[in-house]
Amino acid sequence: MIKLVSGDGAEFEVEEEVAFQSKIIKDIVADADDVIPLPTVSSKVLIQVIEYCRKHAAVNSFPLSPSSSAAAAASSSSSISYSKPVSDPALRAWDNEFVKLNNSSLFDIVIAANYLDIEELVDLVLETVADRIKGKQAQEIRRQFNIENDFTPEEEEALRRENSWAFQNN
Amino acid sequence: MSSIVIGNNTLDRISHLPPNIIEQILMRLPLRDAIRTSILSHDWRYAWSSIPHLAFSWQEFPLSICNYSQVNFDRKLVDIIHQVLLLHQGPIHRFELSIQLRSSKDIDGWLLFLSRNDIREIILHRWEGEVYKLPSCLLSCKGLRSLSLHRCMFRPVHFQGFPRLASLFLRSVAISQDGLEALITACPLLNKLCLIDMFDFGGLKVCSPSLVNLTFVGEHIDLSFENVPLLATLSVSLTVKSDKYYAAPGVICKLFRILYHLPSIKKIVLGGQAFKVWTYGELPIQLPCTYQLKHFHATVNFKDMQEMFAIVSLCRSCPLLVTLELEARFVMPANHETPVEKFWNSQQSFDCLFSQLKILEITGVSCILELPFLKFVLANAPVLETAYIGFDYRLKTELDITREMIKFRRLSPAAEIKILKRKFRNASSMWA
Repeated sequence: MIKLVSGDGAEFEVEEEVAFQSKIIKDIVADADDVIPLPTVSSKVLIQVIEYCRKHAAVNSFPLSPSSSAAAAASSSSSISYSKPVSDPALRAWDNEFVKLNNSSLFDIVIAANYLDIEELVDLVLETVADRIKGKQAQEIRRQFNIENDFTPEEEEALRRENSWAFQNN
Repeated sequence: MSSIVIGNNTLDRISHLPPNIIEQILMRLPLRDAIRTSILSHDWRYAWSSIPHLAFSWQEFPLSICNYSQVNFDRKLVDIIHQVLLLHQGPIHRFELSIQLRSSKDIDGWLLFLSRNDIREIILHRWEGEVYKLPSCLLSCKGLRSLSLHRCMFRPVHFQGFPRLASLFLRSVAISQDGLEALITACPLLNKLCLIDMFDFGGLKVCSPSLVNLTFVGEHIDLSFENVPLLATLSVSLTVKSDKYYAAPGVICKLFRILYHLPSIKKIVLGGQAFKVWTYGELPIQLPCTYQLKHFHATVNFKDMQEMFAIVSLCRSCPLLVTLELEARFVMPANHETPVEKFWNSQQSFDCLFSQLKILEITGVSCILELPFLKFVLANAPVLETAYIGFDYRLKTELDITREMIKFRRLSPAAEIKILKRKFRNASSMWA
């Protein structure tokens, strides 16, 4: 077991395979002890990150579980890959539920995941954020992410002209 | 670092994320959306312009944006790409141009520009019109890790090699056999090679000490291997126009000659007529064992004796096979016992023939013809976990076949038979 200590002092005991979803923790444990302080991560965020790691550690350790391989086989007649975890539809559905959070919570998670070097989680969150930007007008994006427009109308117009093709609707 | 108030939803958090995270968000957006962020606020003004990946793809730039006028499209796209490259700052590691653009001269210019901007990955795809003659500056991109070309012409002259190239994808690329062999040899880190519908050449000798993954799709050629100590996955799909390439009598069939040269092979996928062509000829009597092969997938004709003999030979020479997937080529149902059925029904158990087999998959099942093989495997595979059966979409009822199937004796107490969902066969999905 490995003990993780959040910035606000809460302690979490987790199994190695859960903690090792983080490459940083894996490296730290290799040459230090088993209590790992994570001063920049709050307990609220750490709980969410551990929840994610626990789920993914469980799925990754049984890549050939009957349900996942059958699903993979059914989804592609060639069944090239049974083992890639994101290709598991059940896990993907779980991921989709996991990221149903407000933007602020997503940013907390991605900062922690980036710091802990949990590649798949960073990827998942940033895909979600990108999806919330894709195809939207500037005004909508500003409202959604509380971005203050500090351009004058003239400045904004000049910028639109600079890349006019990107602002044309088609 | 200043502390952040958690749960406060009125703060502008996104603009204050670390720059590498903002960059990664922008890299996940289509280029158009990324550029549109430039008017959000001063913080975002130049954020997009340093993203190291630029993609101009047909999904984002369909011909329809210019009412299908190729002339207008060419002009518009050239303007857009010039403008983007002009505003961009910093290295461009990845550049994708997968649109139907005819202006070769402009592409030449962009490639020259990229060759001086630390380019690592180039994707250049076109579908019709003249093949694009690659400029020589491409050959000087020493930092290339990945190169993907569709409908291009490649003339590696005075070529020093791509010292870091790991992945090479060529589709309908005009290159001579010597040129391609020299290109492969001149990439000491080449890991993944994919060749699809290459223009006519009679043969290819693959020689690459670093190659792990090879895919070849196209007309049958004389494919051979020399010095591929790491090759682990081989996918080959062949179409055959005539019998002229078939092995001469007395020569061991291609599949077993090839196996001998693949010391690390773990997975083989043979599509189209590859299995038929490669098992034509003599089957070896004294079998060299290939202990690495764990996964074998092939499109086979269950009615063809030679192919069935070859399956037995393969399973004998690969005693550690874990996964065996056979896709049945459609054959008209026969209403009497064929020689193949007699063959399987008369086979006694072989020692250790399927000693490690855990997964058997037979797809495209359309008649009773495939069943003697299934029966044989079920009766001889001691650790089989699952037999997946997929029926051909043309089959009217699965009931008779299923009823027969579940009666078969299973040597492995854990073996399950699972029926795969029916779907229309899509041969190309295998290579996607």
